[in-house]
Amino acid sequence: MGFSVAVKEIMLDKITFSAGETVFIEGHRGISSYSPEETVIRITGGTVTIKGDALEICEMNADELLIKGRISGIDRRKKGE
Amino acid sequence: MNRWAKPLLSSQNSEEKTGIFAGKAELCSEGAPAYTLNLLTGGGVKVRDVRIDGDKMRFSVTEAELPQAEKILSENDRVYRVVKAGGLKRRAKEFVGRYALIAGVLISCALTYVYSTLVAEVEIRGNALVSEEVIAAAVSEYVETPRLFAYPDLESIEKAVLRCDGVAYAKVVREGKRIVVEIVEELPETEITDTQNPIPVLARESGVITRIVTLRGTAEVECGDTVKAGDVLIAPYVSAGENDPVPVRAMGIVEAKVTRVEQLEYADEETFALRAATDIEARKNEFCASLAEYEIFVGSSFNVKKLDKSVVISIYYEVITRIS
Repeated sequence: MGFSVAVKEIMLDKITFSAGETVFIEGHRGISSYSPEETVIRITGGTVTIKGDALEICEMNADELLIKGRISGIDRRKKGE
Repeated sequence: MNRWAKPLLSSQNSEEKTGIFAGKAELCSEGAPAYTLNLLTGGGVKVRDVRIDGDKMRFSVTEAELPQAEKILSENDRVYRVVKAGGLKRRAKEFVGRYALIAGVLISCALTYVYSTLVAEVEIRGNALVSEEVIAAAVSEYVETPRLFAYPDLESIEKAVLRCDGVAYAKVVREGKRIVVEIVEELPETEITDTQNPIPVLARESGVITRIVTLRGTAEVECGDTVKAGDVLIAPYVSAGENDPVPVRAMGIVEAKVTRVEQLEYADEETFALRAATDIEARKNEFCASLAEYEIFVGSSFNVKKLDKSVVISIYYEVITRIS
């Protein structure tokens, strides 16, 4: 499944997804796992899984996280799911 | 402020330095990437450009946060290394350090070359009889000391040293900043005394022996003996008891009273020599008047021979002298 829209912002609480290439997450609670194909980020109340190819963390601090790459999917899960 | 238009993190923050002033340091760590990233961000360090490189993770931090990042990683026993540290100050240090190193190497090479051309002293070896000043004077014709950029002709120096009196062999080498002159001196002439060939001591003149000292051989005469020129005074052998005599080269001191004659032709102012013990005394003109009339003077000391217009006087006198 791929995202084909030119610009589409998906505002999932504090997650900003732009043009299938970058994901900006605010208020994260750290990274559960990181690889160029899949990155799992902890957020309040669950996790966000970003899938794609050549994923790179552009910038990251205690609150904000910017990931870029060829993003094929974003999966948000609540705790317990 | 539009929440949706919020700029991405701090990469576009005007408060941060960019470009060559960015001062980023690149690190490489091993182990779980997520754990490392959580440690750093939880410690207040902002990481950038995170990517996986094989089994390692590479990321960047600002130069200002590099000490903090290293502290966090060290305290949590994370294996890491600083791949590259940026920033103008550091780049300037690297630039200066790199070219300063090259310049330092070049200067060292130049100084080494200049020092290698230095001739500071001359060392002379092997001289015991030949004075050092003579050798040094010969060397100084071709090289002065001390001197930079000196390329002395060692062969010419060798020839100059060989021309010195008393030098049989010379070798000149250069040892660093020193010129070493090694010489072998000529051997002094040795007097060889032949003591084995049987040669007697013969009398040079006729006389009466007054003293004889035998150093080697056997004496054939004694004091008071009259000898003629050519007589054997000391025989060339030594008696060794009942064994056959051992031939030797005879040596000794023999003195004798020798009668000598001095002949003088008469003249008006001739000097006459009179007989006296071992010395000849001179007395002038005492007999000139009588001899002028061609009278024969009879005396025990004189033998006067009559000639046409001159008189020859033979004067005999005795001396004690060495005849061996």
